[in-house]
Amino acid sequence: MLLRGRLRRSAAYAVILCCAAYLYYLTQHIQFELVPGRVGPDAWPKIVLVLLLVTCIWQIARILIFGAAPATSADDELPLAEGEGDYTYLALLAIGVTVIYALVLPILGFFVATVFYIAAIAYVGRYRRVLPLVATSLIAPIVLVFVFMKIVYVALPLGVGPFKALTVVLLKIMGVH
Amino acid sequence: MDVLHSLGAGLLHVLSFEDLPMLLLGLLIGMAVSIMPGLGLVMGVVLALPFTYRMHIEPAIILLTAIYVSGTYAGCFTAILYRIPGEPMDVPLLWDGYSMTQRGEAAKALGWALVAALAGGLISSAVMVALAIPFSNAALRFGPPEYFAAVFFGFTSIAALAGKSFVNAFISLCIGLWIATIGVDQTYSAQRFTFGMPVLMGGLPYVVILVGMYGLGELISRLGRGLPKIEKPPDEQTVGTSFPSLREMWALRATFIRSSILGTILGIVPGAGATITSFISYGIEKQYGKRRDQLGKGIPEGIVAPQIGSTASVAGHMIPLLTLGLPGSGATAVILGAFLLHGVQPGPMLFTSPDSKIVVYSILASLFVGVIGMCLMGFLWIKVVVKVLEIPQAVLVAIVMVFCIVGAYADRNSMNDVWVIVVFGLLGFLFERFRFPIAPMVLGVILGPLAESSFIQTMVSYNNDWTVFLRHPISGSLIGLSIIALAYPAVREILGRKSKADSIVLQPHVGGES
Repeated sequence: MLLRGRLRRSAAYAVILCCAAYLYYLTQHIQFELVPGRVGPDAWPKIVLVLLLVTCIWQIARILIFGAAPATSADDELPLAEGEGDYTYLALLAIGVTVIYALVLPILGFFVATVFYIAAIAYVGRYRRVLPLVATSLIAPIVLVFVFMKIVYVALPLGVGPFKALTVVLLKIMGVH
Repeated sequence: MDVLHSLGAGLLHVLSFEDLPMLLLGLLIGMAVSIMPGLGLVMGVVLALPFTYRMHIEPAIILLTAIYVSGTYAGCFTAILYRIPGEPMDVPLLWDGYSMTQRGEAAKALGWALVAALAGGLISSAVMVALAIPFSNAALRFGPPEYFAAVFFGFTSIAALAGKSFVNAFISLCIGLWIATIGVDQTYSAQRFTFGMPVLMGGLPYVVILVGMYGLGELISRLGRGLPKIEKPPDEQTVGTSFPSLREMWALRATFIRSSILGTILGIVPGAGATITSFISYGIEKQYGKRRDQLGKGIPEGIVAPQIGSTASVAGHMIPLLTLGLPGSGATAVILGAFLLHGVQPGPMLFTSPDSKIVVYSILASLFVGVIGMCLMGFLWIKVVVKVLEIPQAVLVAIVMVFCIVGAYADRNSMNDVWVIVVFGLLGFLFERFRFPIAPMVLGVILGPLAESSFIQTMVSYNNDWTVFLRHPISGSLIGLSIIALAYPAVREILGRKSKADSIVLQPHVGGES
């Protein structure tokens, strides 16, 4: 049981260690012609990765042999407010929704995709008041489109097919050309 | 005299139609984000960064600096009134501030916080103006070894101070340094870690990394912690500010002086951000304050010390940023990013040409105006500002997430950057989850190229002689300081273990009683 706990605590460092080892392996294959007496482009990444490897090995040893305590952060000082707790699944859902948003953004265009994205994220954040949710999901993207395309001059994705037509109509209404 | 003349010219710039609206906007954004639990001043600076792409450098930096400075103050409202610290730096404020609120002295507590922020901000800004020229003169003598040693000191101190675990902070730093090496190397044109992907040839855009780690990652983490339910603000009568009398302030003069000096000095040290200065100022008050035994029970010293510490640290952080180009905190790293976006490398050369000098002094002058402005806003608009708390958290998070994604996209109008921010948002979430501080990683990304180039130049200039870093007086001193910074966490751990062991020796009797 004790060993399992220690193994779990050292898992993150083991993953970083493996990645660092692989990246170090890649530095051996960087293509360049070395100028005599000069340091090559592989030297700096090698130094950084060796430091990373050594630190990970040291930390894994500390955890497995001496049972070093898990790290804490400044946020741990903050008292837990009402409604706070461990909702990792919500974070994973938010990541999933964000990935889908990035996938559909070029197809649906910024306006349509953002309407659904804001509604989905607010829902994931346990907001359940339907009317304000729908209103915000519709109004916020319109405001954002206006700010970014009319004021900041960012060419946001328009989408394809009917979604593009819808966005173009919206832009015309806003006076964005 | 020349300094005062330049500062006066800078002040006129700040009060111009181009700079003043940005300053006021920055103060408002800073207040809003620091009031909302989980957003915070660094996220405010990060979110505003993409909007500065098309601005001139002066209003852009003034906007970001104003967010930074007011972000250290406005968190006191929610900490004192509702016992909700907007950020970790506000935690010491609630120990005494909320106790005063419970006694019906909320307005007085807010008055003390305002006076403290004003004093800390103005004193440290004055110190910063006085130190800017000596620092930049010293920096002019820096060659590659000195620059490398200065960056190295920045890295070690931020790793030592940024997180509660030195190992995690150091790993975070190394990951940042590695990310900075992705792309085509400038000396040999060799591809490093591009994995054959053309999008990685030019390296990863650090603005997107910043927005991903500090913005998207933090918001995902907040969803994972569950968004807090915030009670409706109390009736308007209790949300007000009552100033302490001159006699009351005179009685706390030692606290004012102690915390101002501490905040400014700690601010100069890379890594000692507003949170650390706030906690240390409170800790020093607890050790040396006249009424140390009453601290935590609702006395003004418990508000004044941390508030001065956090506000004073802002000006302290700006000194190494403007004179050496070395950011010491997450917020100053973003401000450095804004400088670089505009093609300007902060450093001693900024003080040499008249054009760039006026920009620097405008930024310095904006701190004075910003500190006074934020206190005025805090006093006059507190009732309006706390209304931000009425916006549903989930909706706000959703909108800010869209801002992050558009911010990443806006830099190059590229969907690739949207994917980069999604990846770094996920990484930011994992960093939070496994308690790896983000600041060292971000500093590694931004300062990595400078560290590498100064290291390579030193190796080339001194025939690969590593001892040059120790032989040169300035670089040797900085390396010495770095060793102290590296040793500090070990000493802290040993002392922590010792005090824990002592408490265990003393505890059994107490434990037996329960």
